[in-house]
Amino acid sequence: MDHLEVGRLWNESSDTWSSLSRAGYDTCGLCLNTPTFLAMLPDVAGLRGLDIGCGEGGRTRDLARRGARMTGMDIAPRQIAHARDSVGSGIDWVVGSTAELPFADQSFDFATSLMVLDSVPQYGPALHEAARVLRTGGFLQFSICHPCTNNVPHRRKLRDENGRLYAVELGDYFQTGFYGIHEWTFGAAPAELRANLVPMRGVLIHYTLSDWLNALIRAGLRLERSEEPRAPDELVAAMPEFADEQCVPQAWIVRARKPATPPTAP
Amino acid sequence: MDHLDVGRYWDGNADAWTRLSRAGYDVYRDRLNTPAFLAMLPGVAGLQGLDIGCGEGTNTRQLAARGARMCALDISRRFILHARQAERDEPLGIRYLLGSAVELPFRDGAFHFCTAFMSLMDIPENEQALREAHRVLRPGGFLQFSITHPCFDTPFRRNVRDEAGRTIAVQIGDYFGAGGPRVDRWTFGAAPPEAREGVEPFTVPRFDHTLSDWLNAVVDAGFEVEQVGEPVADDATVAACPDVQDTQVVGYFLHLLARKARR
Repeated sequence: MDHLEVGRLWNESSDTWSSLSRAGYDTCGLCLNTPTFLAMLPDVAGLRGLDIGCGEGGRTRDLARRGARMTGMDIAPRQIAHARDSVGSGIDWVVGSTAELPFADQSFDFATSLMVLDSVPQYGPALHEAARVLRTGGFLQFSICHPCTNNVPHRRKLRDENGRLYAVELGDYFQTGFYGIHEWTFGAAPAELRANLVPMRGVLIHYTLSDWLNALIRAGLRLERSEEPRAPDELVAAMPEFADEQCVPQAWIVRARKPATPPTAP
Repeated sequence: MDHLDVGRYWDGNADAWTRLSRAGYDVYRDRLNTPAFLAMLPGVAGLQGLDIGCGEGTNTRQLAARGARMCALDISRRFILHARQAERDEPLGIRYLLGSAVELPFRDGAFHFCTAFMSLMDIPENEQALREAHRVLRPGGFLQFSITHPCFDTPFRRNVRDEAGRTIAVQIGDYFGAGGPRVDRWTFGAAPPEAREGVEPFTVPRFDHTLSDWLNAVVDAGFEVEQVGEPVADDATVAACPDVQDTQVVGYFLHLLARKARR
């Protein structure tokens, strides 16, 4: 499983992804993960930003609306084609891979990546590449499926008689690497709509928490902030399916900075 | 519940803890946790070190054996008494002090390094404890600490076992907290019934701290995270000590090495 194969699966999922996410069925991203991500983001107005793995570009446009001068990059040409269809954003759209970002060193003030890097087989080099294209003092903020409580090779949801998620069962945490391909769709989309669309397929790749943090450090980035989105009570009151997101976190959001001074360690 | 309340619980645990752990029944510490901690630790020979929450001092003595000039502190008077007795029996030059991690009785910049073995998660004011560790470090000094893994040692927690008793998965829930402190009762599972006879289980106050609470507290205290470890027993260790097999299923401990900036 290499990044090109991952890109091919993602490319084949492009039409389904962009029609369902643009119709608002990515409720978890829309109502919880992206708002948490944006609330944690420093001010980006006027900054040059790169969105790594932008897909059809919804989140890239969110960043552009905050005044950032954005470049959106994705490995899937069809995703980029959908992104280019969107109107009036002033965003540069580029086809490219996290394995080798098609940008010069220090090209950006910041980089973002939302729910992408955990599908990249070579996550270490991807973090190095992100660090390379950041200017000194710039930051990378990324989200991934939570490496401890969500993206783990053995995982099963446990519900009580009322359907309430009370725990998740986890195992094989230290079995890292590729562990399968999953076919999925947005549960919020109506069944008749889903029936007419090609299901999306993605790779399942697990690395441990310490793999991620140590890779960030090795890439020369300094940990600055960590968040694990929890559904607020008001969201659960309005959309009861979000009760699951009060039991364990699905996502992990990390911000790290390319330091102006080299690391202190001898 | 504050650090002083916690100290009273640990004072009550100290005699049994000292006896059972010195008899070799804290197998997670001896087989896995402390060896992994020491493997990650930078060289400490000749350095002035502070061990925060030292208990009866077994881990502190390992640091002294590596050539560090150790000072060690615990909030439990009885733990400190046991530690001082060990120092009298076999002197290593360790100075043991009664005191709290949230108000360290040392001047700024007094130490080259600090360690905290499995103690910081027992302190409700963990952010203050991290700031204190940062304060007593000299610029460029480091803190290395171990805690129960915040992602897997959750308020709801059950091990799923096969018929042979091996853990095959763990169930976790209430990750974001179960509404405040609680007190767990347990003892070392490796201790045989005769060793446990007449010994009350340990009573250990527990606090809700997520992974992000920990990482953000370390950063906010002024530290740069330098290395992270999640120790896992290898097959040879499990063959020799089947009790620690469950550490191969999910992370049991989290180790962090963090440095104070050189100015």
